[in-house]
Amino acid sequence: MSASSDSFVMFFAFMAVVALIGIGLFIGVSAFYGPGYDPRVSEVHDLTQRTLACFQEYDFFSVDFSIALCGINPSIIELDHLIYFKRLDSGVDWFIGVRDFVTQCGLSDKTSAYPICTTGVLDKGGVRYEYVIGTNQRVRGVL
Amino acid sequence: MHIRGETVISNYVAYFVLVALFFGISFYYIQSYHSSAKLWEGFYAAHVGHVLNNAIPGKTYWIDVTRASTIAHKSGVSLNDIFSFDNGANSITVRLSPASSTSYSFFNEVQVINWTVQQASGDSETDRLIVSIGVPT
Repeated sequence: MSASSDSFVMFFAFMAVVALIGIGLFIGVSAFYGPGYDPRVSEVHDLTQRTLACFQEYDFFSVDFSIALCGINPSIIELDHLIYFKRLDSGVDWFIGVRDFVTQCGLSDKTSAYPICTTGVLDKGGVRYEYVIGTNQRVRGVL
Repeated sequence: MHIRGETVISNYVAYFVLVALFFGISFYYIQSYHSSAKLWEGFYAAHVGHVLNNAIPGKTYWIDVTRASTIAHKSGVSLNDIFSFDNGANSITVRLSPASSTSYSFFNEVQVINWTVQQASGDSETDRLIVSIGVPT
């Protein structure tokens, strides 16, 4: 084996060790710090609590109802949230926000690009309602 | 023999430089994660937003912002410029570096009527963001 092939093997082994440490470091740091804080989890919890309490108090299906009566800012909800209720007896629904979240919510465990939601069925005055409450709000960088 | 010795030394120097470079980059990478202004801006914006979503008008809340004030101090952002509130847009903005800031909206229909960052006076204390909540006009 010549001197140049010796130093090539040595250099290759050196770079392999460096790459191995580098990959280990990258995986370790990523695992330790994680994907970051996802504020949608706590937000959807807060929004659900507020909305369901308000739903018992007001008639959401009334023409003069506004979500502002619940102390919720409508213009914030319209951007990247959804509050959706559907009467199970008649199929009539009411919503504010991004209507498509009803579909996207079912896919939220596939990828974090989809909104995080709470879904369920509740009873009010003998009528059963299905609800979907979701958010896809992220923190926004401002220059 | 003399030439062979010089080659070995220059090889060692080259490897030493590569190792130093590698550890330098690794240190910078970990440090940027550890004190990442962007990461903490997002965390505090969402955290304060969460507090405001549950806030009751007429009450005052305080939030531990020691980590934010430490990062802001290092990057030259003054204490009073870290947090700003836009009651019209229902949003909070957190700035921990002069170059950028991070914003987050809260859905609760309340107004932030006053806020201040109170700096710790002793070791056992923490820096606090004190926020007073009012009813929207």
